[in-house]
Amino acid sequence: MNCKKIIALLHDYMDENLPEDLKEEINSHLNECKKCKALFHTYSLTITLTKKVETYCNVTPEMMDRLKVLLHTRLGPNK
Amino acid sequence: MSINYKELKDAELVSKIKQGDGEAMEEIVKRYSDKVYNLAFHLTRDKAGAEEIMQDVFLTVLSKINTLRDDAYFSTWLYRVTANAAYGFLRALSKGKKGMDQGYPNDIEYESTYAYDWSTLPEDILLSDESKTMLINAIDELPESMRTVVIMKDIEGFKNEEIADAMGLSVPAVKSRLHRGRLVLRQRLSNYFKKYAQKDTIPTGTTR
Ligand SMILES: [Zn+2]
Repeated sequence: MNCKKIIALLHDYMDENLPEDLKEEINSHLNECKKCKALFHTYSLTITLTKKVETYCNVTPEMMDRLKVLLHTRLGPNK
Repeated sequence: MSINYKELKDAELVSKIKQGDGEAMEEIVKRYSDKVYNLAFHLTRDKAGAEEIMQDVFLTVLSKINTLRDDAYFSTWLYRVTANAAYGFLRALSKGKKGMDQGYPNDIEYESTYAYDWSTLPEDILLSDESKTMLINAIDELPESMRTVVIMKDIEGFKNEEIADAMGLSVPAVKSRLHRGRLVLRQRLSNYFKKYAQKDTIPTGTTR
């Protein structure tokens, strides 16, 4: 296992998508390689932060009303 | 006897909409408006624009639903329509230039990143307004191919398979774009946080 391979496998490793033996190899590399350990931690945190910085917004009742009006005019006589 | 629309599956609602059933359409709007709106907002970062896109999307549902062959694929189809409407919106604003995949470092260059582990920084630094702004800009500046996937997966929480279906990509292609996008964001965060690193904590060891 080398550092380059770790980068390539990081995604699957985090998704728990890897066979046990590969996981073991990665774990042991992470334990001895500071660079990859830092990469692993910062990669995981990047995902967490990405989730956190984005606000989830709900459609407001006013927006919903405008949408319904629009759809009703389009639905026309069927409704 | 009245139908309880809330209990119908998407596919059942879709087949009713195809027959011009307004109540079925209302139920679909109830189920999906937040998801469509948020995806549109995160792709465009424009609240008014996101509302416009959401309206377009549901109008498209009315006008194009007959082209949907398999009613079970409704949500996938809906997200594709949403993403396409968002791209159209960005292009009209000519913000879409950033869709080019040029100018991004390839994988080899990521390796040269020094190993400062900023994940141990205190939360008030990690989640400061400045760092949030930096990260939002970094997401905005991702090439379109990576940005959509990162937003759908890491922000909206879609599954890889759902993203693949909605974007017309293979699952491995989704994974690779996601991975590259995350690496770019990580790089940007590393560059930003390095000012908090003490010199002696940065190992200078070479890559094996
Ligand atoms: Zn390593």
